[in-house]
Amino acid sequence: MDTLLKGLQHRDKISILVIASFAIHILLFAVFYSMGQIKLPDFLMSNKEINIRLAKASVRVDVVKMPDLTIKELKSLVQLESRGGGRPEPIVKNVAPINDEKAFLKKKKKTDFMSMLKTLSQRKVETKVKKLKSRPALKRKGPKGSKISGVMRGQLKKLLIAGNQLGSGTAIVGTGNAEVGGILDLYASTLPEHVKPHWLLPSFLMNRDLTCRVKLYLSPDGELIKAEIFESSGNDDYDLKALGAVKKSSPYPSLPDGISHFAGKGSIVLGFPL
Amino acid sequence: MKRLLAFVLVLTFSLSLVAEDVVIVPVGDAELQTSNIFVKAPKLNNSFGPAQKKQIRQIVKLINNDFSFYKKIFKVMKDGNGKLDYLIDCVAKPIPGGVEFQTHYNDMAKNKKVINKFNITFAKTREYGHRLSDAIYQLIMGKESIFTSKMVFVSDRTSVGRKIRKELYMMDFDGLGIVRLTHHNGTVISPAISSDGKKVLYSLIREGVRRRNINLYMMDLTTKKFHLLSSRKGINSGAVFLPGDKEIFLTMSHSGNSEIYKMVLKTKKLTAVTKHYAIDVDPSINNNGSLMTFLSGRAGKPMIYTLDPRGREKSVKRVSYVGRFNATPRFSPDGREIVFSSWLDNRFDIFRIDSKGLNLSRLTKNFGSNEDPTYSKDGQFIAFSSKRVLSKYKAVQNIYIMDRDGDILGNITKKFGNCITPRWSK
Repeated sequence: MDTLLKGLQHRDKISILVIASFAIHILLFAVFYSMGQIKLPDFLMSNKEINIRLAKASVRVDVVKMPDLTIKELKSLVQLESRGGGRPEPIVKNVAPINDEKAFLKKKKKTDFMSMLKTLSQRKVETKVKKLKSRPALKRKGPKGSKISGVMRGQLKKLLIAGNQLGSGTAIVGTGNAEVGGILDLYASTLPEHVKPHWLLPSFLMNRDLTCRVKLYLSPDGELIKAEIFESSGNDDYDLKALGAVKKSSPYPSLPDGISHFAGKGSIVLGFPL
Repeated sequence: MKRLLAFVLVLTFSLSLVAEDVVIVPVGDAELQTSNIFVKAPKLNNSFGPAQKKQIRQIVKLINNDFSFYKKIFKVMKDGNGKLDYLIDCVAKPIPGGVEFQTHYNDMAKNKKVINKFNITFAKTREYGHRLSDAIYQLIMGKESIFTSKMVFVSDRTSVGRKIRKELYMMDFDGLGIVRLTHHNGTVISPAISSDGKKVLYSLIREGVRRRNINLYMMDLTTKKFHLLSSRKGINSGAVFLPGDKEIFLTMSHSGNSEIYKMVLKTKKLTAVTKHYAIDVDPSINNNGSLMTFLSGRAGKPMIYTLDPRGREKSVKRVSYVGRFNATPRFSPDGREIVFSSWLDNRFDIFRIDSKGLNLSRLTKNFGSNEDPTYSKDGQFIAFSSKRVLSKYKAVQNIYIMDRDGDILGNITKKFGNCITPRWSK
């Protein structure tokens, strides 16, 4: 190092400019790499640490009665929905607001127990539908105009996970974290619904216990830039089918602000089936 | 300059340490892609007579019909035009008493050709035809089909007037080739076929002078000879074979309460599997004999339970928590699912639940009253009896087949009296 520094001190201006140019190039490379515009070759990436996390939602479910809808009916509803019906809004259990102030201000009449019960039974419970704060723009690309009727959408909202009814529940179904963290995870968790209609296998590949994972590179408007095998199943036919499903599903929903950089860098991996 | 160089080196080093952040999202299981299949009939020259030509054409028709049952896997094409995934090209050569069928199976996607020779005796065209279909299916899928499977069921077609007679019959999976098995002139109930398909268990209601008893019989399907297995006081029914066919589970009530027992067929030695003050009936066992499902009233109403049959009341687990009246739980061959009927909206409908009690799904709706489900040996189909009310005084029951997701293929019995309690061979 000393020799190098000594050399530098005695070199002419040209060599200083060369080093400065090298430094600037390195800086530019660093900036573009961090923005996801440059990808290192695979042989350089092979030893790189990869933080993998699983985005999978879970719901609490209580089976409270026998299901009303058959599997066939449920499938047809879901298919109708995926053809352009939009994403079903989450079911929000609303509780009538309690106005504490008024309760304190009002003078309470003394009432007997029977009349209290009568009043309670006649009281109308007001329910205001509380609009959910819109999540970061998860705009769906696809055919405009829904083929699903309002009644059917209503049915879909009440759709069962098990037992046709959702409740607060006592048991958790699903292996994921209910509060999926981060906008990227939230966006990624919407993709299986998008890919599922294209995820088809011929009979000879069914029930083979194979798993293939495909990495997606998405543009900010949801277009698939590139898809590559992240983890092969070991069966070429199976891998091709998974890749095909990813390609056929493009365009994907537009990316919310702030994650386009990650999605463009290949941070989303779809697991077929896991 | 020194600082600049150091900065560049640190930056390059730290860049190499930046971890790639990846989120994996499971897409879930794939849906089945239907493959187009075409069975090309053989060109028949003058070495076959008109009757033989007719039989050969029937064989081709039978293969087409067999494959049409797997409608989610195969779309049977009427002609060879259009995109084909599998082409079955048949060549027929005469042999004494039959025909040699050469099937050239072409996997169009993989450009793979497999030639298979199969001899068919004209006297047993249906049986051999199903075997040929199964051989082709195995070439494509690498596993057995339902084409060679049989079904036993009970029909009242021999009833005279008000005297109801229910006898045991056997048929091919497609509802044809029906053979009568019993001639008791009584009421046969709850049949079961052994794993090797050679024996049948059934119960017979005996109307005695003082009491009514339900006795258990076993029939050898080769000789058609039957013998009494159990005639203890009360119920001796709902019997099923254990893997290996040397032991059975059955419901007995000689102790005053319906309990499930294991019986060794050779010695008729009994061992109690359940012991509870509530009634326990309808046992069904998974393929390796490690888990039994049954119906019990221990929750106050009939609910589905599982237990480890290798002990008495061992690892009892309640599977169903809903349903007004659940009945006839039956294990899928892999033991992962239980199909059962449940009383809902004034009729029975068929439901499916996994053996851990999750994923309760409805399979039938607005399709008459549906009972007695039974899985096919590959677990892809469920046969059941469905009752249709024709008028105030008349109803008809037939056996139907649906796939495991409740897509009904149709009835396989027709105009054969009221057909109930189908049991599919393993």
